[in-house]
Formats: sequence, C-alpha cells, structure tokens
Amino acid sequence: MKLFLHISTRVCIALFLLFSIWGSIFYYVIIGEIIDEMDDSLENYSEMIIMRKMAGEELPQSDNGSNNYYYIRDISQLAYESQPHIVYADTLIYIEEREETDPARILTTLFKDGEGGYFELNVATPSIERDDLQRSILVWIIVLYLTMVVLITGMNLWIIYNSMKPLYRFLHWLDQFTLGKQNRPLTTNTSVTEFRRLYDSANRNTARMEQMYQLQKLFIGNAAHELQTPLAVAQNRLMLLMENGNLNEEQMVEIGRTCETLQQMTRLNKTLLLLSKIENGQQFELSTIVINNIIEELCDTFDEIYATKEITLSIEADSLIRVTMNESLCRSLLVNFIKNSYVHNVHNGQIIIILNSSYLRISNSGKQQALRSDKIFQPFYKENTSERSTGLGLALCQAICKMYNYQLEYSYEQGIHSFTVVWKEPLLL
Amino acid sequence: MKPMMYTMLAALFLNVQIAFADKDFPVKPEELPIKAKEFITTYFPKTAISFSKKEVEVVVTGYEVIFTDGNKIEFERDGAWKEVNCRYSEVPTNLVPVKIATYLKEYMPNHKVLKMEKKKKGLKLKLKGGIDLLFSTEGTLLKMND
Repeated sequence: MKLFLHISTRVCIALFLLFSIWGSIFYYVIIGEIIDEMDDSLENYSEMIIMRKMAGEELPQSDNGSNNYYYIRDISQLAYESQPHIVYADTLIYIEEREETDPARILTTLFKDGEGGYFELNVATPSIERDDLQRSILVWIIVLYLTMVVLITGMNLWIIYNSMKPLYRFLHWLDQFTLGKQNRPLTTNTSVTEFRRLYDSANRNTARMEQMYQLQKLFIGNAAHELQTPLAVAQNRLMLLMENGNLNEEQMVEIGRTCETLQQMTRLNKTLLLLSKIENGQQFELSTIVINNIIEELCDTFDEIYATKEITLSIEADSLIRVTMNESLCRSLLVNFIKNSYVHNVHNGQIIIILNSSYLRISNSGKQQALRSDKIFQPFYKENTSERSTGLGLALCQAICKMYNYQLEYSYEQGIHSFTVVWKEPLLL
Repeated sequence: MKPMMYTMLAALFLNVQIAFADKDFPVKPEELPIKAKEFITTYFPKTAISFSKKEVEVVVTGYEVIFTDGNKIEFERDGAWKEVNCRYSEVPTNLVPVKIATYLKEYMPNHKVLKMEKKKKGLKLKLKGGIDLLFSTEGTLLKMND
C-alpha cells in the first residue's frame, strides 16, 4: 500500500468516527433544544392561564385558532395530593375544529386557589411540526456529514499525494541507481527540510559508496595482478634449483611440494583476478561456442586423470548447442563443474551430463548429504578442508552465470548432486 | 480503543440526557430557599401560594411562585428575587427602591407598577398604561418608552 493511501485511509477512518460522534451529538442536542423551546412556550402559556384564573380575569378561548390548546378541570384534594404537579407527556389529542387526532406535547399542571379549590390544567401543542423539523434536521445532518467526509477525504488525498511527491522522486532515483555505473546526481527541488536532508544524505552516501567501490575494485585488481609476477619468479627459481643444484632425494621432494603449493597459489590468484574482472563489469570478447565439443574434450581429460576412480560417464546431448559467450569464461565454467563432479565423486560412481536447448545439467554421485545451497556459491566456502580446493570455483561459476543472465541451480536427490545452468535464450541448431 | 469508544458513547448519551433535562419540577413552598421564603413573608404576607416550581437545567437555575391572587415571583437559584409580576394588582410599594419611588410619585403619580424585573443594567419597571422604564442600580432613569 502506498504511503499516501495508508495515511489517507487512517485519517478517513478517524474522521468517519469523529464525524459520526459529532453528528449524533449535534442531532440530539438540536432535538433537545427544540423540545426545550416547545416546553418553554407551554410553560409560559400554562403560567399565563394560572395567573389569569387566580386573578379572576377572563380566560382566553380554549380553542383560539392558534395551535395551542388548553382545558382546566376541577379535581379533588386527594387527586391533587397524590399526583405529581408537573407532567410533560407526548400523546395523541383530538382537535375538535379539525376533527382529527394529532400527536401533541402536553403539559399538565396541578394548582389550587385560596378557597380550597383544586384544578388540573392541561396545555397542549401539536408536535407534527416538530416531527417534520426533526426529520429534516436528520436528513440535513446526514447530507452535511457525507459531504464533509467526501470533501475532506478528497482534500487529504490530494494534499498528501502532492506533499509526498519528492519522496516518490527519491525512490524512483534510488531504483535507477546502480553501483559502478554512471549515475545522475539527485537534484534538490523541494523546500521541505526533511526531504532536503534526505536528498543531501542520499547524495553524500551514494558518492561515498561509489568512491569506496572504485577503491576496492582497484585494490583487488592491483593486488592480484602484482602477485602474478613474484609467484612466477618464485616458481622459476625453484625449477632452476632443482635442475642445477646437487640436491639429495629428500630436498628434491620438499622443493617439489613447495612448487605445488605455489601452483595452487597461482591458480587462486588467477581465479581471484578473473572474478574481480567479471565483477568490475569488464567487457569480454564474445564468440559463438559449440558447448558439446568442449564438454567432450574436458570429459576425456578428466576421465584420464581420475581413471583410478572408475567412474561411469554418460552424456545425453540432443543436438549441438551453441551459446554466445567468452570462450575462456565458458571453459572456466565447464571446467569447474566437470572437475567438481570428478573430485567429489565416489569410487565406481557415475556422472550424467544432460545438455539440451534450455539447460545444462551435470549430476554426479557423491556424499550422501545435500550441500548447503545458500553457502556453496560464496567465495572461500569449503565443505571439506581439502588443500587442492580454492573455494572460489563455484563463486566464479555464479559470477559468470550472473554476467550472462543464466540461472544457476543446485539440487540433491538420493545421493546425486546436480548443478543446472538454465540458458535463457538458447540457440538451437 | 474499546474503552475510548465506550467513554464516547457514554458521553453521547449523557449529552442527550442533559439536553432533555431542561425541565420544570414542582417544589413545595417550604422547600424554597430561605431567602425566597423571607422575601415572600416580608412583601406578600397575606396571600397563599397556588403553585410553585423550580427550573432545572442540569442544576437548579431558578424558582417560580404563583400566588392565589395571580401574582408571580421569579427567584434566582440562591433565592434572590429576579422578577415580580403583579399584572392583576400592584407591586408592593415598599419593594420599589426609594429613589425610584420618589421619581414615580413626582412624574407619574397615576401609574401603578405592574412588574419589576432585575436586568443587567439595572431595574426594569412596567407601569400601568404600557410604560416601560429602565433605571440604573443607583436609581437614575436610563430609558423610557411609552
């Protein structure tokens, strides 16, 4: 839900509640006031009649053509003492002149004169007008209420949406921002302090991020590059020593081992350099490669190397699959997968390579336990602490797949580990 | 949220109650405030009370007494008189302030005082013959219409 809708909804609910309460209170107060006014006029009328009666003046005509109406009757002392002296009531009264029964408000007052006479005075006024008034007030309050709610809701939506515009602009800018690419700076075009601060800090932070990123890229690239030469030199010197020196067997073995370690280091360094190049977005030369050939060639090589493991290999290829990739990257990708499937295999195990227009799947038997799919693609993650493994192979594979928008998946089922590369745009011949 | 709603509903109904509570209630003559009872025995000693009531607007706002001779007195809630209406006889002469009484004797000797009413500015008198006079609390004439 968008922020401005979220805020508006809340405001609306609050308004709805508040207005409902306000409306009902207003309605009841108004109605109360109307009834009060009516009662007041009845009270005055009643007083006037009592005063006249007491003073012995002539009483007004009972039905004087106005809406007010009264009658006086004598009552017993008992009735006077047992009944309440002032009673307000809503009843129906029969109006002779109009010959109809109408709802009316009646005020009954009991009073006495000086000579022991007791009287009951009823004054009444029809409440039809009051009911009409009540109804129209109710209608108008509802109309006013709905209009207010609609207007205020609309106003709120409009105001909040317009006030939030800089935020949406910021989010849009953030979406387009990619580290390491050319980014337009966020221009400040708002006078709202909070948004200015947001914009400022966004600009500052992205600039710093950018700078750090560049520095880091440069450092990794340089470090790996600068290590290449010393490593090669060291290896060469050891070779020379082995060829020229008068060394005994033991020393020769030791130097051989050191050379191997150095080779391992060179491999690590090369992978790191490649990884850094890929992640720096360096452009690699593209060519159309027939994958089948490379796979067969690699399988032959590794089959010989790991002949002692006696692994059964089967390649199921539909047809010749061509992909547009950099050749050496493609080779690294396949080498890593195929080598892994040999290295981590068991004796008398099997490798199944399925290649078709939509994906390449390399499955091999191995440990009876699934690998941690969230960790294996991380650089320097190793399941076993083998010296020959760099821990960078799968990380490199993932970097390559990401670069070419291929989907890389790992699955495990009953002792078979499978790595699948899904070509998004397969080129079929 | 819920307790708040209940409070609001309660307030609503209370409000309605208050709105409808603006009514008159009968009151026995002996239940009137002492000040009012003293006033009646001082200025209207002979006449009997026909009808007395109190006006209630949330709290008592005033009292009203009608005598059997048709005179009417309105009292404040503390029992001080507010209006004396003797439409069918005459306001007791000892109730009219001396300064006003002298003025009346001098200029309008033939007009009886029918009604006397306390106003914000002073005293309003209604004389027989439809003359309305407004005196300040000091007793000087402020307004007259006849």
